[in-house]
Amino acid sequence: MHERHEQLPTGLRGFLIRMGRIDRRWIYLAVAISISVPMLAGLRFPEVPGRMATATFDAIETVPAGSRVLISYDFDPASAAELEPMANAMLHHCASKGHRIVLMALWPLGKQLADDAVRDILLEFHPEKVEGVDYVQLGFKTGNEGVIKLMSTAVAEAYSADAKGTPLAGLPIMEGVRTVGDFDLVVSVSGGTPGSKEWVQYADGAMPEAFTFVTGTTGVQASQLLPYYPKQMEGMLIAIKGAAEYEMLVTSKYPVDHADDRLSLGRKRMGPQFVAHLLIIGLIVLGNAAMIAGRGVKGGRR
Amino acid sequence: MNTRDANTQVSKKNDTLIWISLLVFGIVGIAVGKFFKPAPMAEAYVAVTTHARVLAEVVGSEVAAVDGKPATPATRVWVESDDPQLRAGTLRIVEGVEPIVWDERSKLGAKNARDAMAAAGVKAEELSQPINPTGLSKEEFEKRESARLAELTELEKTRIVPSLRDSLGIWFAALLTLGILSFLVRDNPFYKIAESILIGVSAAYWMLVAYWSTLVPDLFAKLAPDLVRATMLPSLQVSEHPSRDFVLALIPLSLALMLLWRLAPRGGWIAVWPLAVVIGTFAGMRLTASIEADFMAQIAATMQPVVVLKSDPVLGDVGLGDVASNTPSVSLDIGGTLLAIFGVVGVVTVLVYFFFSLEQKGVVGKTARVGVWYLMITFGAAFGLTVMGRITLLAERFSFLFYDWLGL
Repeated sequence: MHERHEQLPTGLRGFLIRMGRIDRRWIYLAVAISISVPMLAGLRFPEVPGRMATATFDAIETVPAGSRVLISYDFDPASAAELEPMANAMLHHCASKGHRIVLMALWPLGKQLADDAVRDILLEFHPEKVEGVDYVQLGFKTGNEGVIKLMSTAVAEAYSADAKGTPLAGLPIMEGVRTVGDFDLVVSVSGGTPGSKEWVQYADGAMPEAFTFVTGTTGVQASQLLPYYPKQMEGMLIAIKGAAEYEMLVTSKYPVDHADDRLSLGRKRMGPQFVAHLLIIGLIVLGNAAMIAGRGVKGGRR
Repeated sequence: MNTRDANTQVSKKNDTLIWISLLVFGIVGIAVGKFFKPAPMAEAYVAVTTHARVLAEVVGSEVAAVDGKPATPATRVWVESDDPQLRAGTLRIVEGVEPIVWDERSKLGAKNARDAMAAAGVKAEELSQPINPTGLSKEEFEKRESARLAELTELEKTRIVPSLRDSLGIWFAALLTLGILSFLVRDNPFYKIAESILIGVSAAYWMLVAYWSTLVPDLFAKLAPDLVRATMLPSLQVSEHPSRDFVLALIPLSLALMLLWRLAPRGGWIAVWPLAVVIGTFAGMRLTASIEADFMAQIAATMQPVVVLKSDPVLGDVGLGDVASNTPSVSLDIGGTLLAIFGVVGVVTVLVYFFFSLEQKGVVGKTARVGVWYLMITFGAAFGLTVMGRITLLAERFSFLFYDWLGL
């Protein structure tokens, strides 16, 4: 006789044992519902900026207007769900503050994502910005961490021209830039390797005094990067939660007139996140209770 | 009934229930969504901006024939069709010359397109009309637009048009997403197709990236710059040191050929040498970087005062500090101190846990046990962050399915 046909204890214990044996596809369905219902209902929660989001905001905010900020798009569409909201907010923040923005990418598709951000964020909310003067797109350069190492000694060794082929020497925004240390702030929006870790290892390691760095990162690699904060990184945005907090700080200080959600994607995605987390916590508690209840029962979890 | 039959029955019953639940949930969700917000599926638009350049001549620049000197025609220039000088009258369009007209298409999200249409008061069936991309009020926009169009006739209009190509792309992406998600129910042909497409596209993409971002600019362009400029990269800059570049490019070329020697029936050992160069280079690069950033800097970051003091600001005549000397007072930062102690205990106990030269019993064992708790908390935090990342990815896919595909 199959174990499911055996006599299980009645009451709460029996219920818990049955829950411990539930087909995992019901859990997938529950997760799907926990995400889709809040999403369709437009559920949102107020965000309270944490220490790291505030530090990141302050790092960009305290650099004087007109400073040169290098933003490296070190991610691709696979991690864009987590990183695009913070990248958008950072770009809007830098442009609003009046920084001169230099964009680059260590990932091939990062260049396209940066181009999209220039079109949808930079030129949409700051149409007065002039290419070559207020911003420039250097594009993707192959070589992974080798590119950072090259830029630590000479930016021109890594990039001789911008993405459109204009020599760097002819761009006002790049005037006086010799090494990566000549940027007042470096930002890496990082989805993996090469990314934040390599910026710290190869640029901060080469010029710790001249290199000021903040990063936005995925949840998966955040625990590896946390030791670098705050000594080797001035600020760090962790996953969608960090993006939501930072978005709130940025749009509070630099509101946009447009009634669209390009600068509130992080907050929008935190509603489903909250409900799904509650479900997962509940399932973890239930799973442990089922394991305890199943002790001593044939077929129960041990 | 034997165990296998019972298992099969339970599995079939579960399958049926799961499919029914999915269908019910999906149909109810779509019906409710469509009731509140009726919109077509896979709606996609592009903003098409028509640019035009016209041949104009500078008014008054022509010189008539005088005293046998031939007449000089007016200076001619190609300008944008809405060049202010045309309106000011300093330039005039040359009659009989066709303007150069071209369309620039940029992708536009369905929501943004609908918002723009609503702002311009344009209905979906009037999509060929110009829309308001300027943020002006409807009256201001119409006034400006009619004045501009009266001057420019049909030139330089921005309009939003449905994009069949992008709609098909959305359908394709949605079906692939559902194909991948269907693996959660069970392995099936739709999942296999989606998986195969992903792998094939990725492999082809990376091959092209490697070719165009590495081989062409870093190897071919150094070996034969003129040929590359003529055939592949017209914007390739002229090197100041072509001979040096050529010689240096021979090194990676030789290493690459040596690496490919692996495929030859004999002399496979030749491929070991370029591998040695690659491994040696990366080991050297990573070793110094890791020692600097992950070892020395981390040790320095750990060596912090255990007792943390904080400076209270000088608050004028009610301040806690010495106002006369303008020195802020200093007090114990309890939170910071506890955090510092927590950090020191964590570092020491985790290091003890990984110190395998001593048997972990007695004081060492108990200390290591504390270290294990620290590690468990770290793993828990890492798990929580990973869950957050994965939920975000799923939420983004659902967002795509609900809004971009289903138009909810």
